Amino acid sequence: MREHSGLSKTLAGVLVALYALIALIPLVWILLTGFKTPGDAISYPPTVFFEPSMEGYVNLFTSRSRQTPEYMASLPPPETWYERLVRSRNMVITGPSRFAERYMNSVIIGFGSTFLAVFLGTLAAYGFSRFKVPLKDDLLFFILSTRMMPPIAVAIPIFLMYRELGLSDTHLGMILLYTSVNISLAVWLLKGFIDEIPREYEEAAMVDGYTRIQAFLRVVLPQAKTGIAATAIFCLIFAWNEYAFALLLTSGNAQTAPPFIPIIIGEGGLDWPAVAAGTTLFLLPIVFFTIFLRQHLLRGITFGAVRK
Amino acid sequence: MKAFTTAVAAGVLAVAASAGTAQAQDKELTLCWAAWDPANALAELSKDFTAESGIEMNFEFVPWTNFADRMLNELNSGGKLCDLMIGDSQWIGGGATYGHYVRLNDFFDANDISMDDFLPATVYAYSTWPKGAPEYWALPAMGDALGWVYRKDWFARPELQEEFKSTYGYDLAPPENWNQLMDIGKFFQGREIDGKTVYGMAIYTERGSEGITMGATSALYPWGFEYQNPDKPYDMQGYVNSPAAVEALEFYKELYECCSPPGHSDSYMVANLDVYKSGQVAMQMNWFAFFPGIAKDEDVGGDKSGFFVNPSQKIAASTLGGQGISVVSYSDKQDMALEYIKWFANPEVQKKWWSLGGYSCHVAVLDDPNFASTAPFAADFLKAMSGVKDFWQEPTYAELLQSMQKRIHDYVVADQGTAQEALDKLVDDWTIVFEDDGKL
Amino acid sequence: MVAWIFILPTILLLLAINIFPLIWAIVLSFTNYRANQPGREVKWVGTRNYERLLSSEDIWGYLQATAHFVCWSMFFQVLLGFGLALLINRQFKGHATWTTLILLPMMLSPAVVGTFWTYIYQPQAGIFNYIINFFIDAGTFSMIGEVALAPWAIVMVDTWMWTPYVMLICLAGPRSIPDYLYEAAEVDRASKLRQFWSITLPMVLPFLMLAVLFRGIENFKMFDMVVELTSGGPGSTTELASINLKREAFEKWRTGYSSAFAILLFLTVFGLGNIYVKFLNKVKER
Repeated sequence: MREHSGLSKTLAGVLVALYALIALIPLVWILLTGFKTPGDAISYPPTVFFEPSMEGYVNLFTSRSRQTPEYMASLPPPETWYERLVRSRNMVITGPSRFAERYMNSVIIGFGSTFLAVFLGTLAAYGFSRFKVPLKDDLLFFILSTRMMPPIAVAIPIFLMYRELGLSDTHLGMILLYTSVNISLAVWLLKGFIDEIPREYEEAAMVDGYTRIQAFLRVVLPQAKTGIAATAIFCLIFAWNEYAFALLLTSGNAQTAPPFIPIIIGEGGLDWPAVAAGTTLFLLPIVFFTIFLRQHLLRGITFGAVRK
Repeated sequence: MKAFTTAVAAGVLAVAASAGTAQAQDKELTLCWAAWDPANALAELSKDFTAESGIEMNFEFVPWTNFADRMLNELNSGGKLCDLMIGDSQWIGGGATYGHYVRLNDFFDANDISMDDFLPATVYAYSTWPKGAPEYWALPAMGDALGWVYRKDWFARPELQEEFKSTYGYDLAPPENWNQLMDIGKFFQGREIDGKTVYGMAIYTERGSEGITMGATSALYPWGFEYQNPDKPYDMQGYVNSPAAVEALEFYKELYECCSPPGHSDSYMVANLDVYKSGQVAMQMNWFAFFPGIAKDEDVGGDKSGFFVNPSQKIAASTLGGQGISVVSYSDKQDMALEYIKWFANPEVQKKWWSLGGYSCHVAVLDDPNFASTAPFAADFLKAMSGVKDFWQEPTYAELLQSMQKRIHDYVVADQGTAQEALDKLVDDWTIVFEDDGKL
Repeated sequence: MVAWIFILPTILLLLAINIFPLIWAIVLSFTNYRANQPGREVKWVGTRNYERLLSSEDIWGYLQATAHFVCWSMFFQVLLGFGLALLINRQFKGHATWTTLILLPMMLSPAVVGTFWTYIYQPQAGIFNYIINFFIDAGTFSMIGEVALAPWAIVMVDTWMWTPYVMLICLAGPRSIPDYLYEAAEVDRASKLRQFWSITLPMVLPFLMLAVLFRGIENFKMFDMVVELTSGGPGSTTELASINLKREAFEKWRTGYSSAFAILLFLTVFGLGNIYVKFLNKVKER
């Protein structure tokens, strides 16, 4: 890698920082809106400085109903800070909202399908990398081409099939579906990595008495760690955020958070602070996961992807 | 790392498998409706049912713009989410024809529930399929029509009264016809009131679900719009695209351009409420369902808001809203669901329903001589319901609606083509739908 | 035959959840089937669904809207993503942190992004118009409500969200360039511009084209972000192919017709993708 001069480095740094700052405005805006009151959120002109409130987060996790002042006066004093907050709006908490359930569904389906896609993808990538498979290139292209179907197009027959099989609105159905979407990417990325690992390693291990499976598990897998991590990030970003299938194929039981967050309504229109709060909480796991596996991300994408 | 992920994934899969088989409690019902003020009132009302019967009520309330989409998908996939469905009036054809709803005739007979106890217009619109036949698929639950709200306090200001009279030659008051409506809209558009720029009126322009169709038909109907030849069903040529219909649609577009707030291009009920409540417009069109909430509102309630029926033009007519309550045929708990309907049909419950802000369709409520004085909009509601007209209720209504949404939005908001072209294309679209459905 | 133990699970899953449905969709596309009318007699209608599609002016409009969206969003993302990658590659202090920050938008859920941008674009209370009006007096305007602006509004949001992705792939490119190439160029006194054209660009091009392939496919299929942002409006200005397909399939329930539409879209992506991959391989061989 060439060394660049100090000045050009500084200039590059300033430009990148400038872009990052502009690009972060909407994100910061989401974060801030989560701590506004519904009134502040729709005031004109937009307020940048405001008294922070937890109302958005409270609204996100509760359902509430408006009551008459007489009824409010008849209630015993609030026990918790969030009850006090809700009461100050002349409302009472009637129960938890569905957000926690939807979030849990996202965790189950997102991580479940990511694991399955990476697991099956690693196996298949190893198979393609190490064995003579008839029609190998055709099979690989076939696997890639499954990602070219628009989700809505796939959703039509899947809808019919799941209706017949009773898989509509189940966690299992969604895990299988997301796995099948992600698996093409997983196979392609991982094959590049495994191609990089010299065959000699396994062959030596097999000479030492390992079986093929043992050699795969103990020699190849540890070597492919970076690729697996990078693949997992991409699979998770897709499965975590997917909307179209979730919208069309799930309802009360297995619905994930993405179709839920855009329809959190308050009195009148969308409850923007609650939407923002939900967005923030929903982004966090991905950010942590990415930071956790960050070193692998860049290397991951540069390997598998470009090689044919 | 590997062992860790394996363990996590195994755990996740185990949870997934068990969650799939988890069963709901026995004495529990789920009612599905749109998320709006009346739904909260119904949840409140239903506490009495739970107290009487010991059956817990769950509610699945979906925002209006996603309601039809989401719930029809639920019905079409044979889902068991909803035991009771308060489905839109236009779904009744599909609900009956495709077997989503349970036929209620025998149940009504066995429990002495008479449809004569409900306003005939609501029975016709919310319960019957084929239209007008004594085949009932729902109990009228929520009467509704499109009406208007105006800023009574602004209209009452002497300086505005005077200026309006000198400009237009008549008094500033709730409009009697659409020309007056436009005059008032123009009068307020861009005016400074209390230091804020305000606009004429908030009308429906939403693209995704049914918004702009509901808005535009409230202009089309007073111009005498007909969906088909009264003597020859599904004969639409010359009716849907009649000169009067073209004129009405052109008028609606002009209204959008002259008198609505900037950027009001994809707005339905809640968007109209928002701009009205925040003091940006002098008038809004909206469903009667919201009027109790507006009358009680902290900012614009009380004496600040008044109500009027959809203005007439050639005839008096209003766009119908409202819903009946049906039992979903895929539900495992139909008996309990029927029990709920039986309870709901009770006149005393219906009276409480109206007092909580739900629009009862029961004659015990509506024929009460004091009814008109129970709320500032009660008299207007009765007036509106006497001249309501609904969109197609055909099983293929969603297709018919989507075509109309596109054609009207393309013309009114996106400014493409002429009103005549839009309606001509609409006739073509609808003809294909009816041909495919074997009705033509 | 050990190979099949490794490959078979994947192939079986794809057969069950991708290929079988695809074949089913092809079959359905020749019928008048409607998924919301299970009892109705299903009739073969030959190629009528395809004829209707190909003779429809409206479909052409949706495809044009899609093409506009794909082309322009690709253009801006390549421009910005590639530019950022080149700059970040200068390894200035703190570049790793800035890179991570830039990546954040692509980790959001597209549907939620669409929803939130309706808030950002609001003519009165939105921050976007506020910022624009801070710099120039643009008055009250609606990014998603005006026919002239809406197609650009969706391009802008997509660019904001996915430029990081293009950047990420492009970052790999300059790193694969051996230093001696530049050193040789310095000896030959080739100008910086010349070095860029003759060394940097050709080496990065395969990566860039790959990024375009991935994003191009995704944007051709675009549904979630745009449907939440504009729901296809105003009129049909931003009604992308997938949005219309959803209306046909899951709102109008014209299953047969929409299956034909789906197949047609798939073939379009598949065909364009194929040509593109061939072209990409040629570029790589150079």
